Amino acid sequence: MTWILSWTVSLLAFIKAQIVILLLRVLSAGPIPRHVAFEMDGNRRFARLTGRRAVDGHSDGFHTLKRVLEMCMRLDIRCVTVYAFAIENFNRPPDEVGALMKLAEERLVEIAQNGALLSRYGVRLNVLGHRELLPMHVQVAIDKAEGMTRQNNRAILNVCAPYASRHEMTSAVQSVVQQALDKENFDSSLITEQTIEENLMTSLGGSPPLDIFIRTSGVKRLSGFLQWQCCENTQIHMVDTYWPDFGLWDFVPILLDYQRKVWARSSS
Amino acid sequence: MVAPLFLWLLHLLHASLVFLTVRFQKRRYLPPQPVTAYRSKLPKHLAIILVSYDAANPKHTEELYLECLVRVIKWCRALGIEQLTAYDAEGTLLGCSDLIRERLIHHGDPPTDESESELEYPLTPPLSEASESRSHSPDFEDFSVQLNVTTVCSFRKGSSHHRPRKVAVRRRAHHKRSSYNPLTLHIISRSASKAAIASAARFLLDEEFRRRQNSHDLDHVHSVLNFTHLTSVPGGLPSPDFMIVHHVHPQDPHPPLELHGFPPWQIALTEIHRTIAHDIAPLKHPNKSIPNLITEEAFCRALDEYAGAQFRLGR
Repeated sequence: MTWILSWTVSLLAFIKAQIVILLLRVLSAGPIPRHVAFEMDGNRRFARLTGRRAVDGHSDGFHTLKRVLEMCMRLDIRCVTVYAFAIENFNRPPDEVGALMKLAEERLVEIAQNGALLSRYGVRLNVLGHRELLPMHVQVAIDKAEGMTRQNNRAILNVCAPYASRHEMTSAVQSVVQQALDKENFDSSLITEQTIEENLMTSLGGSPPLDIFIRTSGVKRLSGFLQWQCCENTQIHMVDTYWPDFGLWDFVPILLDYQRKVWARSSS
Repeated sequence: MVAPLFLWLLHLLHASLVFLTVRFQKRRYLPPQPVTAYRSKLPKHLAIILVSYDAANPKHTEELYLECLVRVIKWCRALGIEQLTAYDAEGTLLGCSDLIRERLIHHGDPPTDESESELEYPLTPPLSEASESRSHSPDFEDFSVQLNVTTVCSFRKGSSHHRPRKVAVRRRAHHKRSSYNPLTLHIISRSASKAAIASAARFLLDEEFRRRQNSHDLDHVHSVLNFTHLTSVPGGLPSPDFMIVHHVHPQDPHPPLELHGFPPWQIALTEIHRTIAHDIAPLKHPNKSIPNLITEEAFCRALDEYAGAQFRLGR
């Protein structure tokens, strides 16, 4: 009897997977955003709901990241940016920070390896942020993971860690000014919004303008994530679902909203 | 051919679900708490983004924006909210700052025996935030950084000013409604947004050029490239605690939230709220062609949401 049950469960899982693939194919018949950002919030609260530690929530969150990334790749979304770790997150308890560093060190290399998710879909990994704040072993792992995917050119995954938008904007301004100084070109009129935008970390990694910004867990703030990129011409969605629970049910309405916007714009 | 048809069906299904959800929510509509109700926290600095998609009638849009702003000012003064930033991307409000002044006087406090209310336009914008002390201060008198913030301060001479409040402060349940609270109003448009950051960057380069001309010292560039200090200089826009996005023309269905070019530097920790249809156009006025002025219900619902927000600040 048990083999019938397990066979039924496998069949149902297969059917569900095929329905998801079909749904994604239907969605990709319409306009698809070029760049989607996810603020993956709610891992710890999700874990607490089930009586587990915060670290377990982060692990669940990573599995959701892989699932959502695969969805985005099937939809042909060319750039995905995720907020993995804020500079302010170093204020968290040391054991949680240590666990997050270990997660980053292991998982980034895992998904960048040959045959894994990033190589399967031709995704280039960029880790954006104030990298010098990370422990040396994590920096080494990041360099390794980025190196494994450097030749991939079909899509981009930006992992922001440790990141703060003000730091990014400050770095862009400093970079623009330093470039002018290095060239001994003191004509400041050449510095425009566009030149600063081109020197943002996301732009330097080849990311297109941000179309959709999604924050999970019901919080209605940006919390220092992509402030320059999302303050204009970006649809912002604050969903109540915790990140580990985020899935197609939450993502499809967001994509439909985007498609309606594109159609409305093209008809006006 | 088949996929687009199924996509069309999917959109139809989604639109139907949204319609039914909105109808269901209207039936279960619960009004928010009144303006003077107790709330565990109030924003110290509120921003309102006014949005219109009616480019064909700029005069009408201007009137709508003005009326919305006057209402919000009245409620902010009643609650003791100390700073208000009014933003619209096109600069409609900036273009009618004189009208705003007149409306404020017209809707202001009636003259009393004590004193008259007074509106001040300072010659130079007031200090928006306390600046950090720094060892290498740029000389702002020689170069202008175009931050493009118009600030109006209103205060009442001789009145008892409320002491400055922090964001999370318990208030008495039945405080006396007062329209005498001072309010600093910042009026901005897109020119105070990314363009202001570009202006600050140009200033940094000009400052460095000037320094090199004077000292011929090419080694010490770090002191000038301390960009973060520029956003706390006089005339800069402080960061709002809470932001309300309000569309003055109804759209069905409601479009997703956007920030319409609001200054990016200031919004790191700003709680964001968009007014909802039920509070703007109650069931008894279902006429969708009537523009949406911001109502007291919408404002109160926004404040209720802010009072319930949790701030973990990275921890």
